[in-house]
Amino acid sequence: MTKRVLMFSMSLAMIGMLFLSKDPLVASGSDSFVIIANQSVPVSSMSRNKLKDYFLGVEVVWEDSTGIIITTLKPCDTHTIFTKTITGKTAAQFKATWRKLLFLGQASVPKSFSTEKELVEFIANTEGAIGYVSILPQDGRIKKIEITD
Amino acid sequence: MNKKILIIVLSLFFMPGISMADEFGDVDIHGFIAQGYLQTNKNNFYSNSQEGTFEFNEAGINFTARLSPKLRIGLQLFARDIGPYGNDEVTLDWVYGDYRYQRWLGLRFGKIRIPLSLYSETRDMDNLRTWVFLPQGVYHEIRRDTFSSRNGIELYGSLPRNIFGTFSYRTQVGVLSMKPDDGNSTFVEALVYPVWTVQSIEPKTSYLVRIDWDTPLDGLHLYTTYSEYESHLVSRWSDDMLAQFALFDPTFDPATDSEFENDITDTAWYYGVEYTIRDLVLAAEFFKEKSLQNIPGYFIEDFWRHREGFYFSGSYRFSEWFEAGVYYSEYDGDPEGEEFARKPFPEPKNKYLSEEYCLSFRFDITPNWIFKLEGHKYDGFGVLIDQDQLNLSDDKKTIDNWSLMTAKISYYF
Repeated sequence: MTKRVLMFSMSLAMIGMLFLSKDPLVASGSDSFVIIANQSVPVSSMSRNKLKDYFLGVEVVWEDSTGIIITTLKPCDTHTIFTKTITGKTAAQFKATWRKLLFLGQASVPKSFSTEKELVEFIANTEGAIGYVSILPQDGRIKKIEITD
Repeated sequence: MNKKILIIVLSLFFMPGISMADEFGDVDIHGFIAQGYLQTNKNNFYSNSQEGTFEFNEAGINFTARLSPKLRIGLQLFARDIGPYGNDEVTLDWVYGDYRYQRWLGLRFGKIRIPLSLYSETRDMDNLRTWVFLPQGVYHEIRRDTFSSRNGIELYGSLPRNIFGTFSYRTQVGVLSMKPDDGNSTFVEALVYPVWTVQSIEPKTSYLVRIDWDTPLDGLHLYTTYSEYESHLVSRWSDDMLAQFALFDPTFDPATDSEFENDITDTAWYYGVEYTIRDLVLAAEFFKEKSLQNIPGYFIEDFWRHREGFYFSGSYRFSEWFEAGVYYSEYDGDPEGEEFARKPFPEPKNKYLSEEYCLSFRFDITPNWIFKLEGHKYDGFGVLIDQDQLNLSDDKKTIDNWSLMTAKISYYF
């Protein structure tokens, strides 16, 4: 009897979790951010799948074998929408993915910035860097990366 | 290596002026310290938990550097203590080079982590999961250290993502790190306790193949792993067994015949699924293992042991600071009834079985501080070790219903 009660309670808890909804921001999708990169990056567009692979550490070099430098914003609406739209993960899951790679010695954690201005400045001065912002800045040192589906 | 040295090094990162997760030049430095408490109402869970114990802690520090866009190196020092296991001995958890030639082919070499199952590589890092203890049906705590890493090489890679998702592979060959007094040797002894004790153990070549599938359905991930290892042991019969041999065989000389050699060949299959949707993570894993133990000259020269287990789990992140989860796990240390049949005095089946229910709460107090509170209900003795129960009176032991409570605080940088 106790076992049945426990199993039923656990199943109910898991089903209940499924119906809890969050992240209304997710509905905003890819209109809420712009992908930007250093001018040295050898591409001007990429598929959503490719972008996902870069931001989850699956790919580590660009087509010309230069290193990929991933940048992110510290937790904010833009970051939340980006991680969910491109990687399919919540901000906490995205952080856990990189922490796992870090503690396995397989990657360095992406550079994280408190403001978009700091992020843009870093990308502008760093070969191979890529990141995202809410509004495309007017800065000739960086370029916009188009997302193709 | 003394754990005090490791703690001193880690403590430097609490000093003003030292930023968390520091970089010295191009070297990334990260680490963690964790302290826990264990309390069981009956039985000892790898420690004196029946009386309540703080003998449950972990610490680690890792150094990594990217030497070129395709080449990384790094190492992690790790120490843990749970009862008589670990004893705060600082070990080289992993140290390896990682060269990613192409997406479809990479090479790791050195002391590399073993990706047996979903969470085996990261079980030292409890900041990456809800629970203090992973489901014991698949993640048997006592064998953790032996199967965390191996000296060897790994080839790995993945296919480009397409409409079928993406497939990745990992294949390793090398040798495990085994000692006569480690958890795995204790586990081998426990299977026939107190018939023999392991005096020395020599690991032979071991290998592993793993395939992962990130499906087209976002968040759904499946995997399967095949693992095999061999080892050569020298073991010593217990005094009771020596006396029995002498009784039945007048030519038996306990002075010269007390030790014997035996070989173990072990194969295991792991397979599982993880589904992440919004803040919910559902997972299920299964494993089947069989060992062939060869003891030349013993009245049963070759005997098989089988083990299997599984679990189902769900965890949900309610907010930035709170996450909760549940799991149900089963372990069967004798699914074929071989141990039961071999024992001179029949033991209850529950001695080899374990059913486990777990409810866990995780509090992210700050991005670096985590507190966990967790309760387990067990039915069965299967995941426990006879040797850990020796100091308990009969009324404090049971092979049926017992429970465990644990709390743990951790700091990560």
